[in-house]
Amino acid sequence: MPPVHTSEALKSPADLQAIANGPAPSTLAPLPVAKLYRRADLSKLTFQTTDDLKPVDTIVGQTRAVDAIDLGTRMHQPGFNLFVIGSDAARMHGAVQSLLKSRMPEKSELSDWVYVNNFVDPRKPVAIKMPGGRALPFRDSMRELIDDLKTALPAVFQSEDYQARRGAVDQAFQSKQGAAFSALHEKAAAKSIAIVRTPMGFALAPLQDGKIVPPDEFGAWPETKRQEVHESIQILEKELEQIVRQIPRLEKERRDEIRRLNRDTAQLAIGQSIDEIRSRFADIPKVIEHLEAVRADLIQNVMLFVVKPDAEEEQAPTPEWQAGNPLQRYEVNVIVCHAAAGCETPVIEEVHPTLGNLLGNIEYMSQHGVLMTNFRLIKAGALHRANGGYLLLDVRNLLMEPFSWTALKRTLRQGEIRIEDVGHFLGLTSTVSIEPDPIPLDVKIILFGDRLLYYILAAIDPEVRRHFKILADFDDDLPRSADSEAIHARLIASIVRGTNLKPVDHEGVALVIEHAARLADHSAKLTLLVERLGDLLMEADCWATAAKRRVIGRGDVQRALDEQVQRASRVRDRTQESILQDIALIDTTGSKIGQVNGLSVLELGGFRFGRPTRITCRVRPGGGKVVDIEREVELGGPLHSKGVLILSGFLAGRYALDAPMSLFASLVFEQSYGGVEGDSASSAELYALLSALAELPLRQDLAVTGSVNQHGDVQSIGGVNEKIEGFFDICRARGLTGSQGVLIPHSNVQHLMLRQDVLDACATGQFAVFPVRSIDEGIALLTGRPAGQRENDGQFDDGSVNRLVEDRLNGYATIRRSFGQQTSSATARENP
Amino acid sequence: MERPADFKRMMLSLPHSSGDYAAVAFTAELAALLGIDLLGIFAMDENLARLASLPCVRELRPSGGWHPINAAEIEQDSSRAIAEARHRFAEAVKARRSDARFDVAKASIADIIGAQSTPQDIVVVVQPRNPAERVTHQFMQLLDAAFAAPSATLLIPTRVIRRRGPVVAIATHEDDTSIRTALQLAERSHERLLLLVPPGADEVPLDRLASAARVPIDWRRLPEGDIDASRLDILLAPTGERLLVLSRGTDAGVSTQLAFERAIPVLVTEPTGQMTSSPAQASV
Repeated sequence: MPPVHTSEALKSPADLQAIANGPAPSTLAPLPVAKLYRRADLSKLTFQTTDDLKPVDTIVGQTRAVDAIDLGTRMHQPGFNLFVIGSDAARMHGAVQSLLKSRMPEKSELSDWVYVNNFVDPRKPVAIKMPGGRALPFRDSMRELIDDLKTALPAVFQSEDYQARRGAVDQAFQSKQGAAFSALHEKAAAKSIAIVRTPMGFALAPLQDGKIVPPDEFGAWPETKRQEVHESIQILEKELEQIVRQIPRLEKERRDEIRRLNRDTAQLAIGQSIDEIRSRFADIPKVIEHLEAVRADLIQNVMLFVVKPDAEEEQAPTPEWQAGNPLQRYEVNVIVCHAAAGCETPVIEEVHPTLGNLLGNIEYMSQHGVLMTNFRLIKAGALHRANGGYLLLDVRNLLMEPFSWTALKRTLRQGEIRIEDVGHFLGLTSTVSIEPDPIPLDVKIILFGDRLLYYILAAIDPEVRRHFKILADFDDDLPRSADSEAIHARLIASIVRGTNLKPVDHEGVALVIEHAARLADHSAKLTLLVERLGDLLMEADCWATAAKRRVIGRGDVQRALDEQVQRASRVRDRTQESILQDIALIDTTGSKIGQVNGLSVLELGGFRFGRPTRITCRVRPGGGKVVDIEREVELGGPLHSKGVLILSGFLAGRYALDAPMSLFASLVFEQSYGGVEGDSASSAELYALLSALAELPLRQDLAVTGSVNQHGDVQSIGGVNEKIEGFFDICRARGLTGSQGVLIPHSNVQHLMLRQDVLDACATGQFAVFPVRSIDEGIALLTGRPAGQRENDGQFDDGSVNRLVEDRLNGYATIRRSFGQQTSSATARENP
Repeated sequence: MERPADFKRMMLSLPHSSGDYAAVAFTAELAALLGIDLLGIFAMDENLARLASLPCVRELRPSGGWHPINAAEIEQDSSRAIAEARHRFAEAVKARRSDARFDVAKASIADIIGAQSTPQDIVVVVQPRNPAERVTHQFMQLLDAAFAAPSATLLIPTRVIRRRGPVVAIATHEDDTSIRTALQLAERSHERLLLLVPPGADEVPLDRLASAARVPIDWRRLPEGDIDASRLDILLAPTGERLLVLSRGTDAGVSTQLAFERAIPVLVTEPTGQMTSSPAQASV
């Protein structure tokens, strides 16, 4: 049945004849079904199920990345850290971890690190490096030392010997003072004067009969007696004053003497215990240095250990900045510890790389309402734990954490781990903090991220290439061949075993491989995105279980695929519904001038689907401009605008070579209310433009995709499978006519991995996919008229599309010239 | 807890210096050990205010030289001293289980002891740390009053040299009350009892005592002749005692000398006895 069309201006009888006859048979043949889908070839493998297959490493087909990681792990110079990029984070993490394990020596000699108190400047805790396995014994030794001293020192200080010596010191000084006071007392008593204790001091008062003389009685005494008492008191006052003035000096001497006694007493008990530890750690000079500092401090502050019977002097004050028990100053804060006889090289993954988690942090504790800290509250970060090994970080997580990226670069630049208190930098905490010794950095950083992030980061941050000199780029797919399909089958077997799924049978494996090609958007490639294949297999396993099957078959895999689509296809279904209900106008039969079915792809939440879009064009004489309405209203992206501008270049290069372009054309995506990006519709737009110029109707039972260059070559586009399926769904819903199909760039044929229902329709001639190399091929198919070649006379073939277009453009040029002359004459008349 | 029959209360004259409150804590510990009450008395002698009316009397403050005495100031300073003493007393006794009470008396401590003490009391005398305080009129009066009172007297030295060790009783005759008191203290503190008995004492009652006691009892004979501090010092040198219990039959000067020079608390019992010499004459 000839297509029904509406023509605005049919000019020649030839045009009418052509339309009446329907589309002329095109030389362009539809693609055979074999080209639309590539079946898996598992002839190289003989197996019933995946149980019969030998698993492979999940890093198949990643030679480039593996070589890079290999190099990165061999190089120990600064800056040769790794930046691993690719599409599947989980796959990369797993692959790198297994690679690292396979390349690491079984046992490594790693260092332990501890923080100890700095007795000279407690605000700067000292970091001590120790051979692996020595930190914990050192910590325990110090704990033991303090525990022992808690018992030993009080015993020593309560011993008869000490008490006797202490008593002697006290007695000596007491005697000195006591003798002076006794002498004064005797002298006063002889003169009947008493030394009286007042609330704040002492006084001298007259005595009579053992009692202080009352004022009345004193007043009644004769003047001479009173004077005598007064003079006696004055003399005694001077003596009392002299004695009292000596008390502080004597007291100080006594305290010094007791301090000396305490030091001498402590020296023996402490020295013996410290020497024992010294002998155990004699090979570590910094430990010896620390032990000497501990010894000096213990002797100086021995009273910390002695439960004093009275709140007397010499109590060593706890420095204000220090939190907790004063004896904690002798503890050892183990930051990193390893096994003694060598251990596995650490491979640490920090999933939450905050500044504190990365570099370590300083905690605080509240003491009397004030936040205090000390070396014991230093906490190790991932860099400490990974020192001597590898630290794995997700770059997106790293960049999301404030200060972490900058701090990591600073650490790499300085070659040391310096714990930074961000709260202090920002002024969020105003309490006293500490500055621990930095610890030398010996860690290989491995960053993981997607490619875009790496490229952006590398472009804006020059330090990326300075600190991450090794790039490991994980391929997303591998070339498809019988060999690679066999490897892929084994990869599927690995996934199945790794996730404890039911075995997959031969046909099931084949479908998974074919789906891997679809995921790769290429019939000649197989995706390496293991995570997505794993998801598919897990769902298939679920359906097999539901059907009480012990083996996953092709039907289960297909069910899983269908269900995946079904779950995500609500928007697609609504879009198709609006087309079928003529809300979104799309013709799938007939032909129309200046109107073509373009195809676009939408991706929502990882689900892609194609949909047809009506593209229309109107033309008139003008200044040589092709107007893209999408761009005018700022709905078109730059690539789309570029595609439209190329059309002007095509027209200018092919037609009206001897006259300026005198065309005004407007192009629009009908009923498009969102943005349009990409140039995959540029060939469709050109067809619509040529149709409008030639006034030849275009077939509406065909849809078009492909970009075009200025020479009229049709170029490759993305999402070809989804686009074809999108148009097919509409046609099938309305009823397949047998003439419907899609024009795709010839270069996209290799990407075809179409759905089974599309294949079935194509196999029975109900639907067709046409590979198009040039605009001429496409316009001939769409109009049923040859495009036409320029002959020796410089003219296109008579009646051809190109001839009609050029004639129209020449006509527009004539109109424009004539209009220009009329305007000039009128202007001349007005301005003689 | 079973309370010893003889004593019901300790009367403690609270010191004026903060450094002496360790001895208060020790006293509270002993009171708890004996299961008797502790009464802390802060004596605010009204006679002190009268000093202001004596034209020749000034006050020497260790912190700031000589000051004329002002009755109002004495009142204020006394109030502050009471508050301080109350706080320190509470701190000193809070960890003990004795029933402790704080009291302020507007009289001299000698008068208070003379008026209030009974044979069921133990009057506690804490040796002041400050040598100046040891020669003050008030301390002399306290010492005299303690030994003159019908109560027992507990002498606490500035520094108590040890808190563990046997309890030693020095008996002047076989039925000395110090023996029973010392035994009770030894049993309560789970310490050995060492009895120093007169040279001619019979061993039989000691054996009888030992068989009923819940702690080991050792005994030694005192040497012939008068008991003095230096002889006792030599006799007790290897003992390492925590407390000495004497009877009033012993010279009071010996008691104070033993307490303050050996740095061991000394409890002087037999409240019905007579003082044989003035303790103020002893070296303190």
